[in-house]
Amino acid sequence: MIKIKRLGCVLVLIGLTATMAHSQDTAGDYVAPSEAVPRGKAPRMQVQLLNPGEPTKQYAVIFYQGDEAFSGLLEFAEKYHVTSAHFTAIGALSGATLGWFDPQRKMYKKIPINGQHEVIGMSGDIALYQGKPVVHTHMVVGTSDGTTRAGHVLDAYVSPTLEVMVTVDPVAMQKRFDPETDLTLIDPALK
Amino acid sequence: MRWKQIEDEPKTFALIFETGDEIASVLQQFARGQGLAGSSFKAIGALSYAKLGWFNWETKKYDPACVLDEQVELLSLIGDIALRDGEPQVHAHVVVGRSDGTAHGGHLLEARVRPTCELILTENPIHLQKKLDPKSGIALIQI
Repeated sequence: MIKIKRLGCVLVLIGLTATMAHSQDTAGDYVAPSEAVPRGKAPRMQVQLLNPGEPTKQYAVIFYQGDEAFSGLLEFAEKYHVTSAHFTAIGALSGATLGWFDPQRKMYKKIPINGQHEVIGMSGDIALYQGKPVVHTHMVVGTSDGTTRAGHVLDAYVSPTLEVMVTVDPVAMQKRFDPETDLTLIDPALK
Repeated sequence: MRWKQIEDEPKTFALIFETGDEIASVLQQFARGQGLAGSSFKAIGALSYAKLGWFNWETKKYDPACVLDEQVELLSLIGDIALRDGEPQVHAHVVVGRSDGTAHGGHLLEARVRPTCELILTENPIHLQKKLDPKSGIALIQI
Protein backbone atom coordinates (compact mmCIF):
# COMPACT_ATOMS: atom_id res chain seq x y z
CA MET A 1 0.00 0.00 0.00
CA ILE A 2 2.78 2.39 1.03
CA LYS A 3 4.66 1.49 -2.13
CA ILE A 4 1.60 2.30 -4.21
CA LYS A 5 1.21 5.68 -2.43
CA ARG A 6 4.87 6.51 -3.09
CA LEU A 7 4.49 5.52 -6.70
CA GLY A 8 1.41 7.76 -6.87
CA CYS A 9 3.41 10.69 -5.44
CA VAL A 10 6.19 10.15 -7.96
CA LEU A 11 3.68 9.96 -10.81
CA VAL A 12 2.02 13.21 -9.65
CA LEU A 13 5.44 14.85 -9.47
CA ILE A 14 6.34 13.64 -12.97
CA GLY A 15 2.98 14.88 -14.17
CA LEU A 16 3.51 18.30 -12.58
CA THR A 17 7.00 18.63 -14.04
CA ALA A 18 5.73 17.65 -17.47
CA THR A 19 2.87 20.17 -17.22
CA MET A 20 5.28 22.92 -16.16
CA ALA A 21 7.67 22.09 -19.01
CA HIS A 22 4.72 22.04 -21.36
CA SER A 23 3.48 25.48 -20.29
CA GLN A 24 7.04 26.89 -20.39
CA ASP A 25 7.47 25.69 -23.99
CA THR A 26 4.13 27.02 -25.11
CA ALA A 27 4.84 30.57 -24.01
CA GLY A 28 6.23 32.09 -27.19
CA ASP A 29 7.84 28.91 -28.51
CA TYR A 30 4.86 27.84 -30.59
CA VAL A 31 2.67 29.65 -33.05
CA ALA A 32 -0.80 28.71 -34.28
CA PRO A 33 -1.22 28.14 -38.03
CA SER A 34 -4.04 30.69 -38.07
CA GLU A 35 -1.84 33.53 -36.71
CA ALA A 36 -2.50 36.80 -38.58
CA VAL A 37 0.22 37.98 -40.97
CA PRO A 38 1.20 41.66 -40.56
CA ARG A 39 1.34 44.09 -43.48
CA GLY A 40 3.72 46.86 -44.48
CA LYS A 41 6.91 45.04 -43.45
CA ALA A 42 8.44 44.86 -46.95
CA PRO A 43 8.46 48.50 -48.10
CA ARG A 44 11.30 47.98 -50.60
CA MET A 45 9.77 45.01 -52.45
CA GLN A 46 9.70 45.39 -56.24
CA VAL A 47 7.66 43.43 -58.77
CA GLN A 48 8.22 42.93 -62.50
CA LEU A 49 5.93 41.00 -64.86
CA LEU A 50 8.30 39.13 -67.18
CA ASN A 51 5.90 37.94 -69.91
CA PRO A 52 3.12 40.48 -70.55
CA GLY A 53 0.04 39.20 -72.37
CA GLU A 54 0.38 35.51 -71.46
CA PRO A 55 -2.29 33.61 -69.46
CA THR A 56 0.33 32.04 -67.17
CA LYS A 57 2.23 34.97 -65.70
CA GLN A 58 5.89 34.98 -64.69
CA TYR A 59 6.84 37.57 -62.08
CA ALA A 60 10.14 38.53 -60.50
CA VAL A 61 9.44 39.64 -56.93
CA ILE A 62 12.61 41.14 -55.48
CA PHE A 63 13.15 42.00 -51.81
CA TYR A 64 15.89 44.23 -50.41
CA GLN A 65 17.68 44.96 -47.13
CA GLY A 66 15.33 44.91 -44.15
CA ASP A 67 12.22 43.62 -45.96
CA GLU A 68 10.27 40.84 -44.26
CA ALA A 69 9.67 38.50 -47.18
CA PHE A 70 6.81 36.27 -45.94
CA SER A 71 4.38 39.12 -45.32
CA GLY A 72 5.73 40.80 -48.49
CA LEU A 73 4.74 37.78 -50.59
CA LEU A 74 1.23 37.92 -49.16
CA GLU A 75 1.04 41.65 -50.03
CA PHE A 76 2.21 40.80 -53.57
CA ALA A 77 -0.54 38.14 -53.85
CA GLU A 78 -3.20 40.56 -52.64
CA LYS A 79 -2.09 43.46 -54.84
CA TYR A 80 -1.82 41.35 -58.00
CA HIS A 81 -5.01 39.33 -57.30
CA VAL A 82 -3.13 36.02 -57.31
CA THR A 83 -5.45 33.02 -56.95
CA SER A 84 -2.95 30.24 -57.75
CA ALA A 85 0.84 30.37 -57.91
CA HIS A 86 4.08 28.56 -57.18
CA PHE A 87 7.54 29.98 -56.72
CA THR A 88 11.23 29.35 -56.00
CA ALA A 89 13.67 31.81 -54.46
CA ILE A 90 17.30 32.32 -53.49
CA GLY A 91 18.99 35.11 -51.56
CA ALA A 92 20.22 35.86 -48.06
CA LEU A 93 18.84 36.84 -44.66
CA SER A 94 19.85 38.65 -41.49
CA GLY A 95 17.47 36.43 -39.51
CA ALA A 96 14.29 34.40 -39.71
CA THR A 97 11.79 32.34 -37.78
CA LEU A 98 11.19 28.92 -39.25
CA GLY A 99 8.61 26.46 -37.99
CA TRP A 100 8.21 22.75 -37.45
CA PHE A 101 4.64 21.47 -37.36
CA ASP A 102 3.84 19.59 -34.17
CA PRO A 103 0.84 17.39 -34.98
CA GLN A 104 0.07 16.82 -31.25
CA ARG A 105 -0.23 20.52 -30.46
CA LYS A 106 -1.45 21.48 -33.95
CA MET A 107 1.02 24.37 -33.81
CA TYR A 108 4.36 25.33 -35.35
CA LYS A 109 7.34 25.06 -33.01
CA LYS A 110 9.47 28.14 -33.68
CA ILE A 111 13.03 27.63 -34.95
CA PRO A 112 14.87 30.94 -34.54
CA ILE A 113 17.53 31.66 -37.18
CA ASN A 114 19.86 34.40 -35.95
CA GLY A 115 22.46 36.22 -38.03
CA GLN A 116 23.51 36.19 -41.68
CA HIS A 117 22.37 33.07 -43.60
CA GLU A 118 22.11 32.16 -47.27
CA VAL A 119 18.60 31.28 -48.46
CA ILE A 120 19.74 28.18 -50.27
CA GLY A 121 16.35 27.09 -51.41
CA MET A 122 12.90 28.46 -50.87
CA SER A 123 9.86 27.02 -52.56
CA GLY A 124 6.20 27.57 -52.01
CA ASP A 125 2.74 28.13 -53.33
CA ILE A 126 -0.19 30.51 -53.09
CA ALA A 127 -3.82 29.40 -52.97
CA LEU A 128 -7.14 30.88 -51.82
CA TYR A 129 -8.83 30.31 -48.47
CA GLN A 130 -12.27 31.89 -48.14
CA GLY A 131 -11.48 34.10 -51.15
CA LYS A 132 -8.18 35.42 -49.77
CA PRO A 133 -4.67 34.38 -50.83
CA VAL A 134 -2.57 32.27 -48.45
CA VAL A 135 1.20 31.89 -48.90
CA HIS A 136 2.78 28.56 -47.94
CA THR A 137 6.55 28.35 -48.17
CA HIS A 138 9.49 26.32 -46.89
CA MET A 139 13.17 27.19 -46.92
CA VAL A 140 16.62 25.75 -46.37
CA VAL A 141 19.13 28.23 -44.94
CA GLY A 142 22.91 27.86 -44.87
CA THR A 143 25.43 28.99 -42.28
CA SER A 144 29.04 30.09 -42.77
CA ASP A 145 30.29 26.49 -42.54
CA GLY A 146 27.77 25.20 -45.09
CA THR A 147 25.59 23.37 -42.58
CA THR A 148 21.88 23.85 -43.03
CA ARG A 149 18.65 24.35 -41.15
CA ALA A 150 15.23 24.28 -42.68
CA GLY A 151 11.55 24.62 -42.01
CA HIS A 152 8.19 26.23 -42.65
CA VAL A 153 8.69 30.00 -43.07
CA LEU A 154 7.08 32.17 -40.38
CA ASP A 155 9.16 35.29 -41.08
CA ALA A 156 12.36 36.07 -42.99
CA TYR A 157 14.34 39.33 -42.84
CA VAL A 158 16.17 39.93 -46.11
CA SER A 159 19.84 40.98 -46.30
CA PRO A 160 20.82 42.12 -48.92
CA THR A 161 18.36 40.58 -51.40
CA LEU A 162 15.89 37.77 -52.02
CA GLU A 163 14.96 36.93 -55.62
CA VAL A 164 11.59 35.20 -55.88
CA MET A 165 10.51 33.88 -59.30
CA VAL A 166 6.76 33.38 -59.26
CA THR A 167 4.55 31.54 -61.77
CA VAL A 168 0.92 32.65 -61.49
CA ASP A 169 -1.53 30.19 -63.02
CA PRO A 170 -4.89 31.26 -64.50
CA VAL A 171 -6.98 28.63 -62.65
CA ALA A 172 -7.60 29.31 -58.93
CA MET A 173 -6.50 26.79 -56.29
CA GLN A 174 -8.68 26.56 -53.17
CA LYS A 175 -7.85 25.59 -49.61
CA ARG A 176 -10.15 24.11 -47.00
CA PHE A 177 -9.82 24.02 -43.23
CA ASP A 178 -8.66 20.63 -41.96
CA PRO A 179 -9.96 20.13 -38.38
CA GLU A 180 -7.55 17.23 -37.79
CA THR A 181 -4.51 19.53 -38.06
CA ASP A 182 -6.03 23.03 -37.80
CA LEU A 183 -4.24 23.77 -41.10
CA THR A 184 -5.74 25.01 -44.35
CA LEU A 185 -4.94 22.43 -47.01
CA ILE A 186 -5.22 22.70 -50.79
CA ASP A 187 -8.23 20.78 -52.09
CA PRO A 188 -8.07 20.41 -55.89
CA ALA A 189 -11.73 19.34 -55.97
CA LEU A 190 -12.91 22.65 -54.45
CA LYS A 191 -14.17 25.16 -57.04
CA MET B 1 26.03 18.92 -71.30
CA ARG B 2 23.24 18.32 -73.81
CA TRP B 3 20.16 20.52 -74.04
CA LYS B 4 16.81 20.75 -75.77
CA GLN B 5 14.09 23.40 -75.94
CA ILE B 6 10.98 21.64 -74.60
CA GLU B 7 8.41 24.43 -74.81
CA ASP B 8 7.94 27.70 -76.73
CA GLU B 9 5.70 29.57 -74.31
CA PRO B 10 7.10 30.03 -71.78
CA LYS B 11 10.43 29.34 -73.49
CA THR B 12 11.69 26.33 -71.55
CA PHE B 13 14.92 24.35 -71.85
CA ALA B 14 16.01 21.01 -70.41
CA LEU B 15 19.76 20.88 -69.77
CA ILE B 16 21.25 17.47 -69.02
CA PHE B 17 24.73 17.54 -67.53
CA GLU B 18 27.03 14.51 -67.61
CA THR B 19 29.89 13.16 -65.49
CA GLY B 20 32.69 15.71 -65.26
CA ASP B 21 30.61 18.77 -66.26
CA GLU B 22 31.05 21.76 -63.95
CA ILE B 23 27.58 23.27 -63.55
CA ALA B 24 28.37 26.97 -62.84
CA SER B 25 30.70 27.50 -65.81
CA VAL B 26 28.67 25.40 -68.28
CA LEU B 27 25.48 27.23 -67.31
CA GLN B 28 27.22 30.60 -67.69
CA GLN B 29 28.38 29.56 -71.19
CA PHE B 30 24.87 28.40 -72.11
CA ALA B 31 23.37 31.70 -70.88
CA ARG B 32 25.80 33.68 -73.02
CA GLY B 33 25.20 31.45 -76.05
CA GLN B 34 21.41 31.73 -75.82
CA GLY B 35 21.39 35.40 -74.78
CA LEU B 36 19.44 34.63 -71.58
CA ALA B 37 18.43 37.74 -69.64
CA GLY B 38 15.41 36.91 -67.49
CA SER B 39 15.49 33.26 -66.46
CA SER B 40 14.77 31.04 -63.53
CA PHE B 41 15.79 27.41 -63.16
CA LYS B 42 15.87 24.42 -60.85
CA ALA B 43 17.73 21.13 -60.91
CA ILE B 44 18.43 17.84 -59.17
CA GLY B 45 21.16 15.28 -59.70
CA ALA B 46 24.37 14.11 -58.09
CA LEU B 47 27.90 15.48 -57.75
CA SER B 48 31.43 14.20 -57.17
CA TYR B 49 32.62 17.60 -55.86
CA ALA B 50 30.94 20.75 -54.54
CA LYS B 51 32.30 24.09 -53.38
CA LEU B 52 29.70 26.22 -51.65
CA GLY B 53 29.86 29.88 -50.63
CA TRP B 54 28.49 32.00 -47.79
CA PHE B 55 28.15 35.78 -48.16
CA ASN B 56 30.38 37.56 -45.68
CA TRP B 57 29.07 41.06 -44.84
CA GLU B 58 32.44 42.14 -43.40
CA THR B 59 34.48 41.40 -46.53
CA LYS B 60 31.52 41.66 -48.96
CA LYS B 61 32.72 38.48 -50.63
CA TYR B 62 31.62 34.87 -50.77
CA ASP B 63 33.64 32.82 -48.31
CA PRO B 64 34.03 29.15 -49.28
CA ALA B 65 31.60 27.74 -46.68
CA CYS B 66 32.49 24.14 -47.42
CA VAL B 67 34.21 21.95 -49.94
CA LEU B 68 32.85 18.43 -50.34
CA ASP B 69 35.25 16.26 -52.32
CA GLU B 70 32.95 13.23 -52.26
CA GLN B 71 29.86 11.81 -53.91
CA VAL B 72 26.77 13.81 -52.84
CA GLU B 73 23.18 14.02 -53.98
CA LEU B 74 22.26 17.36 -55.51
CA LEU B 75 19.00 17.77 -53.59
CA SER B 76 18.09 21.20 -54.82
CA LEU B 77 19.61 23.76 -57.13
CA ILE B 78 17.58 26.95 -57.58
CA GLY B 79 18.69 30.02 -59.45
CA ASP B 80 18.10 32.88 -61.83
CA ILE B 81 19.81 34.75 -64.64
CA ALA B 82 19.85 38.55 -65.05
CA LEU B 83 21.98 41.00 -67.00
CA ARG B 84 24.91 42.81 -65.47
CA ASP B 85 26.49 45.39 -67.80
CA GLY B 86 24.84 43.60 -70.72
CA GLU B 87 26.25 40.17 -69.78
CA PRO B 88 24.11 37.36 -68.35
CA GLN B 89 24.95 36.59 -64.74
CA VAL B 90 24.00 33.22 -63.27
CA HIS B 91 23.04 33.19 -59.56
CA ALA B 92 22.38 29.79 -57.99
CA HIS B 93 22.17 28.15 -54.58
CA VAL B 94 22.48 24.44 -53.84
CA VAL B 95 21.61 21.92 -51.14
CA VAL B 96 23.58 18.68 -51.22
CA GLY B 97 23.05 15.50 -49.20
CA ARG B 98 25.94 13.40 -47.89
CA SER B 99 25.94 9.61 -47.54
CA ASP B 100 24.55 9.86 -43.98
CA GLY B 101 21.63 12.05 -45.13
CA THR B 102 22.89 15.30 -43.59
CA ALA B 103 22.55 18.36 -45.77
CA HIS B 104 25.01 21.10 -46.65
CA GLY B 105 24.29 24.13 -48.73
CA GLY B 106 25.27 27.54 -49.96
CA HIS B 107 25.90 29.81 -52.93
CA LEU B 108 27.05 27.77 -55.95
CA LEU B 109 30.76 28.31 -56.54
CA GLU B 110 31.67 25.00 -58.19
CA ALA B 111 29.81 21.73 -58.71
CA ARG B 112 31.16 18.75 -60.62
CA VAL B 113 28.49 16.36 -61.91
CA ARG B 114 28.53 12.55 -61.45
CA PRO B 115 26.59 10.94 -63.10
CA THR B 116 23.84 13.41 -64.07
CA CYS B 117 22.18 16.71 -63.35
CA GLU B 118 18.76 17.53 -64.79
CA LEU B 119 18.06 21.24 -65.03
CA ILE B 120 14.87 22.91 -66.25
CA LEU B 121 15.15 26.58 -67.21
CA THR B 122 12.46 29.08 -68.17
CA GLU B 123 13.43 32.21 -70.09
CA ASN B 124 11.16 35.29 -70.17
CA PRO B 125 10.79 38.03 -72.79
CA ILE B 126 11.32 40.86 -70.28
CA HIS B 127 14.91 41.24 -69.16
CA LEU B 128 16.16 41.61 -65.59
CA GLN B 129 18.98 44.05 -64.90
CA LYS B 130 21.51 43.95 -62.08
CA LYS B 131 23.22 47.01 -60.60
CA LEU B 132 25.96 47.30 -58.03
CA ASP B 133 24.50 47.80 -54.56
CA PRO B 134 26.99 49.98 -52.65
CA LYS B 135 25.84 48.69 -49.24
CA SER B 136 26.45 44.99 -49.92
CA GLY B 137 29.10 45.46 -52.61
CA ILE B 138 27.36 42.98 -54.93
CA ALA B 139 25.15 43.45 -57.97
CA LEU B 140 21.44 43.04 -57.16
CA ILE B 141 18.46 42.79 -59.51
CA GLN B 142 16.93 46.27 -59.83
CA ILE B 143 13.43 46.77 -61.20
